[in-house]
Amino acid sequence: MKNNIKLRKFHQAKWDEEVIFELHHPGERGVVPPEVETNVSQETGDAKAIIAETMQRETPPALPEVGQMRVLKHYLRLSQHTLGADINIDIGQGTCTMKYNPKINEAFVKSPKSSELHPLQDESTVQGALEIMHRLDLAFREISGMDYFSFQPSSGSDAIFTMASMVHKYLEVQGKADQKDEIITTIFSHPSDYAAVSVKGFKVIMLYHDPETGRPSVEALKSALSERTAALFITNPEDTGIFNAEIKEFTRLTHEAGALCCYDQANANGILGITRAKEANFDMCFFNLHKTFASPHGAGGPASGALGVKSELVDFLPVPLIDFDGNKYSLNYDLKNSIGKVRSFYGVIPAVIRAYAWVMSLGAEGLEEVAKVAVLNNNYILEKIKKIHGASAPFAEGQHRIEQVRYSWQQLFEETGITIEDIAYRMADFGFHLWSSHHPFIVPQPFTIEPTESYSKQELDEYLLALEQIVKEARENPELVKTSPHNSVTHRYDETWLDDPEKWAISWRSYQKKHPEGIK
Amino acid sequence: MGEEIFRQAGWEAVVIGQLETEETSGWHTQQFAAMMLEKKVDLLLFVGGDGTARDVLQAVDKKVTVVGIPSGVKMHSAVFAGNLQRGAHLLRYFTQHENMKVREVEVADLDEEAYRKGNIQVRLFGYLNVPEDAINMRGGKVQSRASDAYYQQSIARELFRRLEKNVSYIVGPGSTTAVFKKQLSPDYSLLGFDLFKNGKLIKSDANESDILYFLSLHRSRLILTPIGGQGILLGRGNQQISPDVITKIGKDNIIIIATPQKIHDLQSNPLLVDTDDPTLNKQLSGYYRIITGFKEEIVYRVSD
Repeated sequence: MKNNIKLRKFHQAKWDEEVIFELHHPGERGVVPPEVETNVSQETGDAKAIIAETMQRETPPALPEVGQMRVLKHYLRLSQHTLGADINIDIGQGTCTMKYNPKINEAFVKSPKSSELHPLQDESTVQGALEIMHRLDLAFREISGMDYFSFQPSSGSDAIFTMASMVHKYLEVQGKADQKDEIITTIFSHPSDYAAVSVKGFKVIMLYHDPETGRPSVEALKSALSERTAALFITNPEDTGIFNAEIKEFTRLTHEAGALCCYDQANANGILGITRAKEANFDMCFFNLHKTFASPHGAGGPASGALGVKSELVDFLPVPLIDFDGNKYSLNYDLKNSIGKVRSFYGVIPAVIRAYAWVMSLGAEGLEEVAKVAVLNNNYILEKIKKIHGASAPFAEGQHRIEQVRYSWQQLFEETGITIEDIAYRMADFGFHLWSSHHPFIVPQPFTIEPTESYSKQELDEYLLALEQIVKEARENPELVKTSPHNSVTHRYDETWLDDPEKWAISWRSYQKKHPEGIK
Repeated sequence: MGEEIFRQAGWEAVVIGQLETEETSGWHTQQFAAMMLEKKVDLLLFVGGDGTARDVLQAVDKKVTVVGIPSGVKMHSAVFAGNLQRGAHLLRYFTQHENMKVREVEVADLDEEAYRKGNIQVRLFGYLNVPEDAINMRGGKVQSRASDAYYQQSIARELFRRLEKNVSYIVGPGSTTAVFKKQLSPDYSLLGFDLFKNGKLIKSDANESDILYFLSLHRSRLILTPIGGQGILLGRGNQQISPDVITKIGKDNIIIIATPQKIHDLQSNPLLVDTDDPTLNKQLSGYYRIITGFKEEIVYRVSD
């Protein structure tokens, strides 16, 4: 088989497409809504009068006016500018669990049975949607060992923030909120564990890893724990793919200090059916449905962070809960210590539907097989990358990893001057996506590979072939790599713009303000 | 001085001065560095060790971005690219990127006087600006990364949040401690230990006996930041903080501050204590909660 694998002669489309606002032609229409029929307008009266005066805008929004076919063309062209999960071998964005999102599940989501639901419908008319949420809750109880799941948080970071809010409320009820204001996390836990609890106002203490094991020691934890400790927020395995085998000692010591244990399982892809939050003595945990549970990331959402707690903490969950009396599902807003709402209505139902379909299609054995294949794929890649001259896998030498590995190109960089950015750009020439990993920048010239269970050995080999090719080029023809990408939508751009508030623009209005002359 | 070499390598070199003697000294380095400063060069690349770094410091201070190519005997300063190749890559990187951010790093050198007496002590002489990502060239996304300067301010804010009444503070040298000290008094010393009581500067650049006398009067805490690229926390550089002083202060009263990048730059190697007293060094070893920002700490290992 191996002999058949070759680098493809890839060339991406380049449309030089305008920004949609530049396609604006006054008077052009995508859709012309029908005239309001007389009997309707007679019934409603003056529609404008329904809207409060303070809510009425004086000038219409500056939206682009573009014909329907041109809009379609616009977005199809843009879609050809991407290297998304459905078109490339998307294993180069480790920690994000870019796996296959079965297309059949889109049929359920697009079905009018779900797409036509309105969040203000009476609960008696949405029994099916509530049933799906309840049944997915039951599945997650099995997967994690927790006692109740909420689908209110709409992302992993939102789930972390929700957990931090619950920790705060829990301490408040105990009269300890002023005393206990510190949260312990680890430097290789996902940085959202640090960011979201900071937003909640907690002080953050990050445990550094020991260089040999790549993970923090029990001694490091002990020196951080005190009567001020409110909770432990931890990822396991960490972003290095290293599993903390002493996790039960971590939770034991944390509980001993009177603090709660919160498990970030945003990415649980390597441990489904293998380990559970309950057995590691966590008080709460969450799963990203858009990672492990095969709902698409959707370029930043809509997403879902399914949040599970032990029974004694159910009372603190955001509302509403979904109750089932054996006959009828209902929404329960009556929780004594609830932190309240964390998002409008009931959570991201499409993500819940997809995750439910995925879990039900696999069953318990299937989920465990997902984890095993993901781990196998990862360790196959690990062995292969370790053999690439110039790449390395820092920490925990000689040991297996779980579902991903944070690697380093430091040696290649020192020998050739080729950086991770250069390699990432060059990978686009072969139709692949590779990123340089998120902060903190501890591993020099970092990259993180997470192959998940989705890809075949042939595809993994093709990706590896591209990495090997680029390493060869770095030695023989570094300029080729330095000046890449050559076959992509764009050449290199000035990244300093992204760091400059005077220049960056995240909306058309801001772009026009900051760059009235436009840019070349 | 270098013209021939550049020509052989196919570079065009502008000659800005002439040597009158065969022998060169630190004075020449200073003169040439000053001339380059006058020419408004974008980057001053120098080859040498700590001595050369000190000469460059004297001539250009922080008025120009510099990078040292290591070739000296002593290299305690943090201005050096890891090796010759890294220096070359850095030069290339610098020429390809506009508006590279800079950060301050230490220029340190052996204390000759102490060295002659048989003590290895590293003294801090000042700060030079290097490209922000120069020394380790870690790669990764450069976007939206909070700078060292931001974290230094953030750490100072945290120290103010923690200031206790009826506790005095002995604050050590370094650019991170300086941001804090500057806000307490304009008369702080960048390179020395300063004594503060109730937010007032009592003595700047205190010596060992000043500190011992101060300790006899006040309950005190010691605020330290690691010096140089190797993460030296105590000993070597700070002879004022003798084993006697440390014992009187007590391990629990040592507060360590450092920007997160400074910690990450240690590549997971521990911070070092290296006083003259091996038993004390052992006692001081272990995990510390290092202040890395406002309401932020990193638990990190200190080793002897």
